[in-house]
Amino acid sequence: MSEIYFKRADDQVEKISLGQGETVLNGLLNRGVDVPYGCLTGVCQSCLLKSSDSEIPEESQRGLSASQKKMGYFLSCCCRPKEAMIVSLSNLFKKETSQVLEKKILSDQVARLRISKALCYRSGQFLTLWKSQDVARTYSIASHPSHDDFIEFHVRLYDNGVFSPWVFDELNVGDEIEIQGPMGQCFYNANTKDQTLFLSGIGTGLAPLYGIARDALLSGHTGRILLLLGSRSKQGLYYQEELKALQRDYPQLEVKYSIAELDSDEAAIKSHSRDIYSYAKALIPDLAGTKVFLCGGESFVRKMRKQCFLNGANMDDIASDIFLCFPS
Amino acid sequence: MSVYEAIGGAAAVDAAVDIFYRKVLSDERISEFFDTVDMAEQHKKQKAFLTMVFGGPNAYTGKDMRAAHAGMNLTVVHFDAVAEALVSTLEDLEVPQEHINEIVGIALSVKDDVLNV
Repeated sequence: MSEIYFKRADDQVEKISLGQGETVLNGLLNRGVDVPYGCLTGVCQSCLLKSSDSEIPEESQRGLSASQKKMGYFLSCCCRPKEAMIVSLSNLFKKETSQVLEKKILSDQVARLRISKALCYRSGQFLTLWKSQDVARTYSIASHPSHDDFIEFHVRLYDNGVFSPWVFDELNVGDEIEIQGPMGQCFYNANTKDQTLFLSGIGTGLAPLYGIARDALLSGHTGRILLLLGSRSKQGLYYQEELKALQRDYPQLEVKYSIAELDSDEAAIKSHSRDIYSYAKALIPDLAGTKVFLCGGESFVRKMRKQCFLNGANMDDIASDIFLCFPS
Repeated sequence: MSVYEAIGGAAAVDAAVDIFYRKVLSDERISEFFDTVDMAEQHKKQKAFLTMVFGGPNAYTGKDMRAAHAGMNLTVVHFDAVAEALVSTLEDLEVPQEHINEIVGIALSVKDDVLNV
């Protein structure tokens, strides 16, 4: 059992006892304190709280920036304090209200959502989108902050989800949506303009990678940019025309696809491209000095990150975002 | 001057950590232990480990080394694999032999804790 002292907006302090292993977020919610939260796994940062003069458990600050840590911010969904803590709500990421400008169904699985630019960001970072007061999801940004006057997301449809079907079926152009952020360290940050960039992702992992590739190209990057996209089937691919158009303008961009299930004729021709890991190795065997960006599901990111590191990429040069899938 | 200062302090750790961790992950005797851990977190631990064996300022104690490796059923084979990766990293970086000897001495001092004997 441990205790937290919750400092309310009116500076009144409320003492709350936590059960064995209970998180700060849970304790506050049980007492009726309205703490915003999203993923419950320490990724989306919606549940960020602030603590001063207290011992903050290390695991509740994982993924925060050095300055956030220093200022005492922590993720309440991952915080199981051993000692008493003084906590208060954070106003680091204020919710902003944005408007839906466009919704386009790109395939049976993916919708493109464009909303008004209500905050500043880097291409490849992610934002939290609020469906209602208690349902939020994070999406990576595919647009460019100065060349586009909208923020673009690619929403993958999960039939049993609580968020994506709402985007597909109910959200309309003109609707207001609350957003929060930006977060994440996965954005263009090459040391030199001629450095090689290797970007790889699965499914809507393309969204941040498209943003990063465009950011690089618009910043005058001259080095090779290899974008390797994986999909279980051909139907899972989208944005191929947009990528072709980008390649026409910028020959330094190479786009390759790895499709797990090909029909037999194609499989015979392109069998080497079925396994994204061996295809990556064949395309770019030595990654020394290369910047790597990986976006997709957890098993893909982990496996590809290890492979890239073993093939010579520096750990500090591998940026990645793991896409989480939420139980409905 | 400590061996840590002699080989270049924090910069030496930065230079060594990727080489060392890559060797550890590539060694079949021990790579499976790292399959399920988060690479970024493990990378930080490798850095702390190298700081310790280089004789630098660190927060590791024998008790920590014992607790961190408890229940893993490690044997001398695993310890040797890590020690070899360490020596080969230092050789790649052309660290003088006398310093390598001193660093290996520090690594050997935590052997019993790592193996939990």
